[in-house]
Amino acid sequence: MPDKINATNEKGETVEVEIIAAFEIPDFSRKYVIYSYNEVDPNGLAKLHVSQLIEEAGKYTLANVETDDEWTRIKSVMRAIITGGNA
Amino acid sequence: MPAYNFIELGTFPFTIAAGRVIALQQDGKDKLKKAYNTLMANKTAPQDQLAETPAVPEVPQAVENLDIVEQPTIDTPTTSAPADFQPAPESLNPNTPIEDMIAPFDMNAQAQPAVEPAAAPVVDTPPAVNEPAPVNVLSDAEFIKEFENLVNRTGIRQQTIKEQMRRRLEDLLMQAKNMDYIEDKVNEMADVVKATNEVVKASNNLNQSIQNQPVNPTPTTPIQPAVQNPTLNLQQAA
Repeated sequence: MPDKINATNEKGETVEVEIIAAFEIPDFSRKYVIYSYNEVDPNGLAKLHVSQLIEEAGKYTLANVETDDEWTRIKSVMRAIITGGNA
Repeated sequence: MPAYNFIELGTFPFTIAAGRVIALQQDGKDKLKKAYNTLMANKTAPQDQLAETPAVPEVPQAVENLDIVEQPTIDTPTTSAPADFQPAPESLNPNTPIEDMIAPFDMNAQAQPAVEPAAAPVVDTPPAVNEPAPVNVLSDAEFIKEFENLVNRTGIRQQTIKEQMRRRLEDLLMQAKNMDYIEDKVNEMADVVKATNEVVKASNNLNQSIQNQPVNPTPTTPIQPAVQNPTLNLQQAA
């Protein structure tokens, strides 16, 4: 899996993002990507972005996580990855 | 059905439309990436159903102190969280629900008010119909951490409310200053009116005193006989 990719943001600018993780949740039949712009908030915490991965017509689109159920499950997956992948 | 599956990303071009934001401690981000890469390299088998309270989770030594902290951020790349806000890091315990305090970050949406972080549900959302309801009993320590998170969220709301009140007070002060100016002018006009009234009163008094003055009669004097021929009298006397 690529470590860093060049993506086009909504302004049409090319930005470099760091891919953290990519996974699919079969219950929602959707794929998600966790990525980073290497941003740090004023409290010194690293900001990660989570988007739904849509593959269409030979390109990837990173869209919003639509429902709170998905968001809750995504956080569970992050927790599971960090704890060794065991549920 | 496994809870999640890792996927490989191809070489297609990426377009970023929107996403949600979550904050981790810096080493948390690195540990997440490292753990993911390790699992991918080992081609970990698909996981069983995720449970909110696993029996004995195996916590690798390197990640046992991982903290995931979610904090409210303004949906701009440069967040404006209060300067004195200190998020309470919570240890990564599967029993501890991670509260979502960040509003969805949608770059296609209009700019959202900076003073309204998304309200975060205190309780986890109910599970899907086909899933058993998770039993999430918090221990004392977990409850304290949840309470600390709630206090922190309240602190942020207090800061937001304070800022709103400060702006309102500034507006009111400006209005008060304008009112003071108007009041000064009204007082000046009142003084002028008062002086005018006094002049009118004095004028009325003067007129009254003039009208009340008695009219003095012309004094009468005895009519003196006319002196007819003074020379004859002298001759007669001689």
